[in-house]
Amino acid sequence: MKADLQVHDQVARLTVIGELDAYSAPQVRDRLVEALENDARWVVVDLRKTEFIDSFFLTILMGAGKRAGGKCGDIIVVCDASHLLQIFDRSGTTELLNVVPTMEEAEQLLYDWRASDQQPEEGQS
Amino acid sequence: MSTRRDRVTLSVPAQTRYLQAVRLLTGGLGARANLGMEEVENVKTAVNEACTNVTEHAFCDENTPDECSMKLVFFLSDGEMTVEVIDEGCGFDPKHLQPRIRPPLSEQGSLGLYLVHELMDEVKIESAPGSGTKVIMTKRRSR
Repeated sequence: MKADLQVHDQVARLTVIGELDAYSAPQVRDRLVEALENDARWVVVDLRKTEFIDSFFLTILMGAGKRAGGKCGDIIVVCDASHLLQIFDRSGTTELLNVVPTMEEAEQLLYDWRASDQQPEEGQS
Repeated sequence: MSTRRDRVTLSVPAQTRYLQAVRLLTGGLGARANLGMEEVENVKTAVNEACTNVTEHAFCDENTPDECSMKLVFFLSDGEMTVEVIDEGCGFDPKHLQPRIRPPLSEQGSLGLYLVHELMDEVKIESAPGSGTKVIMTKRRSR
């Protein structure tokens, strides 16, 4: 498994190549937690080159989404492989983790979140 | 149709570093049983979840000792594969399981056994406190 994590402009972008299970995923978790404890408010996880995920990794993603959400951010998962999409679907996490099939859709969602984040709260002048 | 039923056994340390090897063998045997590609992926995920449970819970220690092992028995026939994941750990009372109810989506986990039931056609769990655990799961080729 090879994981690349870049944090830029408050977005942590994680790309994973290979297989994620209870042996390999903790490395990814530690790096995600570190990114979220520092600068990142949003997380984009690119699984287009990932061959396997399990419930252990789903739990890590849910934890990352929760941490990001706590700072008014959120998580997006980019995934287009049917056997992985089935795992999100069967576990009921597709909506929670904002699973989308393309990076273009992820960027659009991120753009929308940023836009709504920059709007002044009601009652503020 | 052939009624031949092959049996393959594997014993590995109950450590997460062996999960990938277990999946590799499971995938190869699933193809050998003439399951479809998606069905093979389902079996790989289910077996991985059952084995992860062994590494995390079976031996009642925070860190599973290296000498603890898990045994997998595969039964293959044309269009059907049954896998038994067996440990000799501390066991539990299966009455307390509710694997058919999706657990709350929380950070704490517990989705594994639910996924096993979702992805396989039949699942049976045999366990008792002090007597280890056997998870028996079957996948059939869809017609």
